[in-house]
Amino acid sequence: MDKLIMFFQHDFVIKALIVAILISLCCAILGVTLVLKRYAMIGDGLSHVAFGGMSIAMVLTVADMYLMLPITILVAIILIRLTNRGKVKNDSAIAMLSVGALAFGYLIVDLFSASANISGDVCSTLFGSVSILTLSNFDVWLCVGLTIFVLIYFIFFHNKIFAITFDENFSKATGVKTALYNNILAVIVGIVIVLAMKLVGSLLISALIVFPAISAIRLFKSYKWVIIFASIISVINSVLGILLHLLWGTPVGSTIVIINIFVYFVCWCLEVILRETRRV
Amino acid sequence: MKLKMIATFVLVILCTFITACGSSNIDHDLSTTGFQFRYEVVTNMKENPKNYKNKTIKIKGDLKSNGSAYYYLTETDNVCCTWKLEVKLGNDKMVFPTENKDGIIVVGEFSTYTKNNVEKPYLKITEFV
Repeated sequence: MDKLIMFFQHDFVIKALIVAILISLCCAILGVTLVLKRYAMIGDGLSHVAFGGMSIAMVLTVADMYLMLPITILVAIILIRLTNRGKVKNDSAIAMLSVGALAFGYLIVDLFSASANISGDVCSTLFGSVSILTLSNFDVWLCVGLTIFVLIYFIFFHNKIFAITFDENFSKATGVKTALYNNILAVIVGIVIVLAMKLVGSLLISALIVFPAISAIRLFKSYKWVIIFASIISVINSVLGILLHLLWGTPVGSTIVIINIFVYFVCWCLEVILRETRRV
Repeated sequence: MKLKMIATFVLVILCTFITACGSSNIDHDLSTTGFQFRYEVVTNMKENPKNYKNKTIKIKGDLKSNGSAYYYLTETDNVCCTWKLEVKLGNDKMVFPTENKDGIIVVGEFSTYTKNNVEKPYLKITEFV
């Protein structure tokens, strides 16, 4: 307890917790839509693209958000359009962009970056070992603003999102502007991926998007309750991950992902128990 | 009986305060935390030096020198991350250890100086533990 009080004397710990709560909330809500639309791996691909954008920012010594956000959003729109038109299969498109951006990013950082600790910067970005606890005030306010935007979109358009998630063709036939909502979804995905990189790193983002959603789907059949439960467990897992990181000195990103895996396992067991109980 | 209990309680509280008065004036003790937290604090010191200016820091690291007057504390973890913080002696009577010391603990006051229009953080060592 004394140790925790000591950690909370540093304002970067408070900032990290606030940002972690906001990011995990967005990831959970977005994750349910992506999992149900079978776009789960898009998060992984886009995170690698964001890494490429971050690498360019490192070389140019500009704030990484200025490049990461527009590049990731643009690629997200391209990916979703490619998928919908069927010209390139979803998984191939993701693989192409993902490995290409990762390789390009590491190459230019290795060749041109003036940083004194390139491997540390790259490692921290890929695995999120410390990045959530080294946020600037600009990062925090940007995260707050973007989270508000994401939450407002989901609150005001949840009916349309529900419709295009479960039956896009029917929604289109009934006059819903599915192309517009898919483009907005792509923008939201890009924003959330860039934010989530700060929390768990580029390589582990899929866990933050997928695990809360699939854990909730194990236990609930209602769309509303899946969203609510996914949000709650995502926030709790992230906060717990940061606290354990502080107490045990483990990397933040990996700790949060391991907790998510454990919670998924618990939900899976609960589902089996409930199913057997109903049978009896 | 009730009066005895209250008196005992007050005595215990008083004793706690008295013993606490003798405790150190260290604002941030990083000598007992893990590498990760030291890395984060040092990074934040460099990003937001005004939050740590004139604060007394106790920190553990490897003392290194570039051969001339530049000394720094550093630490590297098992994977790849490294933190580095310049250190200077607090007064003329102090001397740095003659050889590079690993796992040294120092107490010092965090401050900054300006060189080539760049604000550089450093720790003014007041004590080698």
